[in-house]
Amino acid sequence: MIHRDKISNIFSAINYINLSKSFKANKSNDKINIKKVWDVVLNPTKYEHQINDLLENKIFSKIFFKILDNEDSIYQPKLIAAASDQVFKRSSSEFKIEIVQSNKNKKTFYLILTLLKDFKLPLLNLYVICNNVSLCKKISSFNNKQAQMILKKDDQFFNLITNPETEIFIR
Amino acid sequence: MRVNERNFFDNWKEFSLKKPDEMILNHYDIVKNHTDINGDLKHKNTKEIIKVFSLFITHNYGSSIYELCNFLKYLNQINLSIYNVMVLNSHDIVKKIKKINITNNQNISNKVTLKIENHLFDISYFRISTYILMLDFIEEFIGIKEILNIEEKIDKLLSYNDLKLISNNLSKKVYIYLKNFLPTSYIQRFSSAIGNQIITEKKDENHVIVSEDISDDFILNFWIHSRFIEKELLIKTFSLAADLCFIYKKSIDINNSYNLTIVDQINDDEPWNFLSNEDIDIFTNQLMESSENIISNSINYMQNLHEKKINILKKNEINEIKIFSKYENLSFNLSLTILRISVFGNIQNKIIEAERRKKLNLKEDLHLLSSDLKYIDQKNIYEKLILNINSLKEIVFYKLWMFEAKETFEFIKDFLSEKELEYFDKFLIEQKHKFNIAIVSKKENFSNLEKNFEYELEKLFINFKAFLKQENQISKFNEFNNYLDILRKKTKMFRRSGVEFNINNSENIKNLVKIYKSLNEINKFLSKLLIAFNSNIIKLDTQFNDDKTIFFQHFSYLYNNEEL
Amino acid sequence: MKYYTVVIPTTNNLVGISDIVVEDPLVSSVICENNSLESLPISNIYASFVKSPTGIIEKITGHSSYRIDITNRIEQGDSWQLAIAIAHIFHDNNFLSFSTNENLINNNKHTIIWASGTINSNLDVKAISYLDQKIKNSINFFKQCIEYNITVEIVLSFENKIDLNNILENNKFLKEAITKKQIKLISIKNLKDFFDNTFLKNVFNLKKKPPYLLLKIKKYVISIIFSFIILLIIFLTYNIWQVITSLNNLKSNNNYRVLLTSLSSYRQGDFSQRVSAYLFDYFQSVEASKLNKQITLNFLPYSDQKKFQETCVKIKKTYNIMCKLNIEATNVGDTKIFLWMLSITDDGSLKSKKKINVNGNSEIINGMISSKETISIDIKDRTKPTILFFVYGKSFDIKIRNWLVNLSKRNSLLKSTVKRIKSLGYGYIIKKINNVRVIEDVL
Repeated sequence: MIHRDKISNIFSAINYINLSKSFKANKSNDKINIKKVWDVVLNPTKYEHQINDLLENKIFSKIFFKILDNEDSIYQPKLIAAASDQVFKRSSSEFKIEIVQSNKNKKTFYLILTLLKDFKLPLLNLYVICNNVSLCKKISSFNNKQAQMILKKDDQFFNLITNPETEIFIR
Repeated sequence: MRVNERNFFDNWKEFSLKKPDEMILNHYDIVKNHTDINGDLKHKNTKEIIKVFSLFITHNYGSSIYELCNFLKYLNQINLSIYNVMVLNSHDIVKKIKKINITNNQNISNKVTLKIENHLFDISYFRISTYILMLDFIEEFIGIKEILNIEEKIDKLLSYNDLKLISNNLSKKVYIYLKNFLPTSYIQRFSSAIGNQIITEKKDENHVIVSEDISDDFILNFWIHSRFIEKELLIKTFSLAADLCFIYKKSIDINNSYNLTIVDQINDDEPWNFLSNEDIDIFTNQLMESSENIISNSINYMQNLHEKKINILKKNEINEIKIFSKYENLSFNLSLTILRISVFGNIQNKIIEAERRKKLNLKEDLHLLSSDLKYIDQKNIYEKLILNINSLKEIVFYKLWMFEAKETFEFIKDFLSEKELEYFDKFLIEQKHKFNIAIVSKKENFSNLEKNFEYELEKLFINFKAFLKQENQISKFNEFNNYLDILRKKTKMFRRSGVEFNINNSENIKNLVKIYKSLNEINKFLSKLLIAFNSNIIKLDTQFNDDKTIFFQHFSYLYNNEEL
Repeated sequence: MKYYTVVIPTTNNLVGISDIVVEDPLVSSVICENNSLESLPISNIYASFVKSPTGIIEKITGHSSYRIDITNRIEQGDSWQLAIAIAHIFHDNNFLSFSTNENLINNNKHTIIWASGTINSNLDVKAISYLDQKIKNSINFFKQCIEYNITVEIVLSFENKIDLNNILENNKFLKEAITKKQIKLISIKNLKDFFDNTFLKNVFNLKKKPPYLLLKIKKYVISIIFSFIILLIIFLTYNIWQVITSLNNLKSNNNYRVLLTSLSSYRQGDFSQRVSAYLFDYFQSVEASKLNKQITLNFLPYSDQKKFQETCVKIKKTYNIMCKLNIEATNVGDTKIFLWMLSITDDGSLKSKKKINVNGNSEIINGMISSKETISIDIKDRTKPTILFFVYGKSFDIKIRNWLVNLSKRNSLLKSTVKRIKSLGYGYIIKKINNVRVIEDVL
């Protein structure tokens, strides 16, 4: 049997090699592969609308953040001694985030992101990850190293960004 | 089996690829088209992709996976993450490794060494392209999540034992994935069908299959009985059945020459000791064999010329010999099958065409078609072709002779009579003597020797031409000179579109030389084939009649739904 | 109270303002469509338009950050600046009425401001383009306003006047409406010109609201200065009180020598000491005058001889040379008083510093006068002028007598004695009877 198996395998191999010449794969992209993750990392604008869906996939977000960690992105790990349940101010040597309540509506907040250094790559997205839940928000244009976004208190994003356990990436 | 996309899979239109085969080919295609981070193709060497792919299909990946794990551990040690590596091509990876090594003040060589405990493993730079191919295939087979897991395990591993365990585990996972596929694949089922048929015929369950089991008779039987093996595996066209059997025969041959173990590789403790890299390399090369002297090269060349409108061989001539580019040397063993394909295969094609046009009237058509083509006729076609090719050779030779191309010196023997050959040899010996002395006295190195040789060859030729013109030699080479005259006239009268080559330039000479060589090969092949016919087939006519009955019966069953 | 609704014309439609809210100064101003969470693309320009130094709104209203919601999207261009500036100024003064998403007009009684223009840092209003398109989009709206008798003011840059005139030529309805004054046309060169005709004339006295920090400092400086002054006063008062207390102690301990030396040194000392000395003197002089008032002296000339009795009457301050003198000292106060009197015969040596033998010439009397009682002192007859030195005190003190004795021996001590007595809070009076028997005050 083993002898026949060996012959079979070689037979299959030869046939596959022959068939492969004229074969075109159908582009089914439901599997996550490393190339796809890199594509998202390098082209944040292209995946603007899908990013949050993609981040729901645990494998995707795991690899995604690992790559971001090593790549040129701004990173802040979770805050060490957070005294309160919610943090409205975060800062590192590279950036500062302040969350200010709107006077118009108590449930609306402004997220003000100030960069403290110059960055050569354009920074387009703000990623938050906490306990395997991750979300992304597109950063609006910078004006004098400052960008401002409007958040709603009920938003999952708001909960994450004010959580002291959340890690932040900016890319 | 030499791949020749133009004719090999014409008959495979009969069935379409189904799920497992499709998926395997999908994996291959995706890996082949993988781009690196810059958008360029990651694996530029298609041969290598095919090699690694066939490694996986034939379950010979054990030692390669072991090497891969060593490589991954090395990358881990130099802090190059797997995610980075998987989007780089091998050239960039080598650059990065070299860069890191320079900063670490290690010597630059063509390899790096992994060290864990007392275990040392050399990673050569040229193997890295194989490793990343393997990674890509593994990602396709078992998914990126598994690769993440492996990376984590490799990060944590401390001892050499751990490394072996990881490698073993990975091999097992790949094995399970592939093993789930292959048995149900269509292709695999054909192979089982052929194997089963052999066993049935031998009436011995323990029979070890050998190459001779695939004979002309076997192929015919297999084709006819295919419907009994499995309904889905009914093979309608005879040439398809023949193709499959040919490949099977080839597989048996390769298997016998390489004696590879498969399954045990996985369960064994030290699977990597079974095969060396060289063995694997040679093995995979065999699967996509290409060699300079194979007949298909020549036939393809002729085909190419025909497409360029240089009609050395006419289209129908080329069509007659196309089949040999598929079956090559096996044609000699299975010459009857070749005849069958040429004759009955042709008939079948016409039937299929008529059926497609819905104009099939089987009984009538069969009667018509069989009347003008028999085995003898086919044999005659080949004989005629040999003669044609010979005359073409003459013309080409003459042209080359007129261009005073030194290569004619190689070909001239074909055109000399026996006596003339003697004189020629004498001349050669004298010249060689001179030539050898020249070599000894100058004491030059090898590359210059080659150049010198070419130059000497040219000189030889000129010398020979002069030699011919010498008074005392004219009579000796009389026949040849007469022959040249005849050739001259022939050449003048020769009219074939695209075949001019009237200008004496190097390109024309090159082409003519190649044409001559190809024609030579083809003729040699055809001659051999005729000999095979004579030895294998007892009587052509009888054989033809017998075959006709069988074939027509089967055609009736296939196309008229008549039961036997 | 006049209210205004501001509408912003665009090339697509007419946009209303649904809300303006002052935000935290940390926040950059944003302009959004109807409470959405996305800021419109023009937010950055709007933020520069609001915040100093590039912007003008902060300079006028004092706020650097706003959120403004509009009823439709505006994605590019600058022509919204005039309308929004007007809206902000009205809003700051509580005259702005907001539109809603469904209806630009909230209240038919509110005037509509239809404005389009760009504004530079000098508040000059510059021209805009696509005026005809913007007016075209608004014609129906204008018709609606006229129907409901709503006043409409079209505010444009003076530079757009020609364009507008051309448009009016082709638009009968609008021309008529303007002629009938249903729609008012205002062409301005500067934003101030618009407000000059309203009650918000002074809105441009650009309240240069000092920066936050300075204001804070200002608030505190006053209290700092104030507290500083108080401390200083307390300090001084304490010092003075210390000094005075010590002087008083000295006085009550009858430590006159130390008291007097301290006093004289304090009078030359620092500010607090001088003040203390002055205060102490003042208190003593108050006391002295009190004592002075307590005793009335009555000079009664008399004669033993009958013949002179009638003539020995004091006429003014004189009396007959032949008479004797009797002094009645009456204590008109409630407490007893001690009295000393020194009489010295003055032969002109008072002013000289010669020592005189005054054994026979001086006389010291002392006694106590109870409340509401009188004592009489008889002055021996002398032909020479006589000085009578009266000293009044609350308590008996031997030192007085000693000083008076010293004084009787040396006339030069008069001034210093007087000083001493004054310093110690004793009352005194010096009378001189001269040759012709005139009683006059000395010193």
